[in-house]
Amino acid sequence: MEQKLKELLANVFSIEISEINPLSSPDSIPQWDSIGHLNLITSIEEEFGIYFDEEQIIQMLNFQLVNEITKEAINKK
Amino acid sequence: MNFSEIIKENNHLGNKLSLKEIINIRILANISLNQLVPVIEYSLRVKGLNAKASIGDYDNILQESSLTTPNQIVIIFWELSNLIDSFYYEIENADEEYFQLYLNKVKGELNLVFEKLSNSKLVLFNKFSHFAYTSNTIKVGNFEKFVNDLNHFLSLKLPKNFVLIDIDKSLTNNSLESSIDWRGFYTSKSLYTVSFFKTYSKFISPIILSIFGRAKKAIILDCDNTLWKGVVGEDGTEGIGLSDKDKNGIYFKEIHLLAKYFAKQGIIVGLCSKNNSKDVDEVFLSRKDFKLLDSDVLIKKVNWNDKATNLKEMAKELNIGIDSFVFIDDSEFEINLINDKLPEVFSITVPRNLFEYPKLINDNKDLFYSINVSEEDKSRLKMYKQNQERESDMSSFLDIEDYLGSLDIKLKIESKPLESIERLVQLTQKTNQFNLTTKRYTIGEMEYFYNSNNWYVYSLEVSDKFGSSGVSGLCLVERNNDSARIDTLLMSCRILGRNIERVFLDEILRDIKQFGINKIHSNFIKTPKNSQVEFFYESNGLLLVNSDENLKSYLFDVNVQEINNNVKYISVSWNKN
Repeated sequence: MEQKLKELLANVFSIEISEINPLSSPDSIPQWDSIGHLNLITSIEEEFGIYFDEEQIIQMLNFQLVNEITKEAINKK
Repeated sequence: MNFSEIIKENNHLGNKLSLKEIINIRILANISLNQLVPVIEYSLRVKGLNAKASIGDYDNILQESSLTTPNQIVIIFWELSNLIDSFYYEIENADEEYFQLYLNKVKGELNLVFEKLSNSKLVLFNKFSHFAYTSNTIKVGNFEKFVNDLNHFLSLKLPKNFVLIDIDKSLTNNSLESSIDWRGFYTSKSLYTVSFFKTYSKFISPIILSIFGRAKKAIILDCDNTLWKGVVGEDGTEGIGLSDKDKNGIYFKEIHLLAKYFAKQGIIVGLCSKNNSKDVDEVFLSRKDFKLLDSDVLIKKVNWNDKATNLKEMAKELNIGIDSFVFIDDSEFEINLINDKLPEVFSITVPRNLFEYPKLINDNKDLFYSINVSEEDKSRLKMYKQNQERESDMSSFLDIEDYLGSLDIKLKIESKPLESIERLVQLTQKTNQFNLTTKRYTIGEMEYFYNSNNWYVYSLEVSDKFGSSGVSGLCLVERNNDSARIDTLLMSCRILGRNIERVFLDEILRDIKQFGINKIHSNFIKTPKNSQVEFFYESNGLLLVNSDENLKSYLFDVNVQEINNNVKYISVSWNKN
């Protein structure tokens, strides 16, 4: 799943998978702006058939958090 | 394709197409729809258009519409659900006065937007929809009435450069449930899902492709197990299935009816089959229950050559680009061959489940979408047939000049003919080969030229003893005091090769000269398809003044250069409005 998330991130932000680490965030990836964030959320929801609530969307501040929150949402499904 | 892949591919295609002309798309909306941007760009980039989409300020359609530029293609999402917060629930409770107040407010704003966008190249306007709220309710409420009233208003008042998009078709196709994002609507005014945007973009892209000359023009079918069930060489003329009385015949009968419909629309229907040609001819001759007639089919390649070679020959004979072909075959081998050798051809494999076959072809009708179907389109088949007669007639003459003399060629040139305005627009959108500058115009722009004193619009109609070509040439000239500039000069391929193009140019030069214009400027803009006119101006007496890789500029000085004498076997008549 983590690998799939990296792939989504790489597609959405036009970067290489190898550039992604747990601390990758809007600060280190210029394309990760507010629209980019929405695109990422939509891509994850589409891929795993899940639905984030507003709180979760706001909390995804870096890749590690994206990974944890997605895992949580999948387990709840 | 999922959303993240679309974003990736879209960026990739954007880089690949970066040197091509930019097609600007401006989206005006009173909801948020940022995710439409990559999806719509992708649907056009994948067809070779360098589309760049942007979104106007949120909920500011009125002001944004005055900030658009005429070359932008505008798409408008005017969502009544977000007219004010909770509009649906408010209006359901409203009294007559409140209802009329809002109705008049929206109509007034619509009129303003129509006026502000009257010079736009093309505006795609979504019809108002109530289904997000009403699909589970029998009783017609105020909101539904409000929507219906406005849609009626649109049907009466919509300007010519607007195309009404029936968004309900996309909502149905994608299913309402997977199209509306209520969470998104309440948290960020994002009413629609990405999956809806995919369906919607695919739905509207034929309109944009069509105004940039990307619509398909010909449908080429295999015969055995594509046009009928079975193999005619083995099963025999009576053994194949092609009508209601045959097993599985109904699917093929419906394909014949579709092909006849295409032919009526002026789309070329052709056959490309590995067969003995007399076997195929025999089917047309002796099967009286065969709905498709020999006269519906314009071109046949029934032989044992490979199909890529056959398709290439067809393109040459018809004088159209191979990228305007759609090819249908039941054999994976043939489809793969075409995909491999001629990737620009759009290929369709006959589905294994025959009950899916008619619907599959019907669902792809918009490959041939044309924004305005003119009378010429409908009689195109007849005109191609006349051309074939001309060619067979030619073989009986020894000398080409004698032959041309025997044709009795007549040109009719008209200035700003009102009844042909849609046809002229269409010519700018469809003509690729004999087109000196390949500028695409819409009805709004053409109306501007008609109304302006600085623009001359000349149409050309050609007839000979075999019949008329209809309006098939256009020249646009912009005047600037005592000089002028030929903005567009184009001719449909079916009238070329008879010195008609030269006479048309000379007549226009002579006409412009009368208005006291001394210097006439013109350009050749190179495209992948117009190499046949690369030296047209040089060979017709214009002076080459500048030459770049993709652009050549010419000058015709009325006081220095002579206009050619008329060609003796072509007579010309003028009609000036």
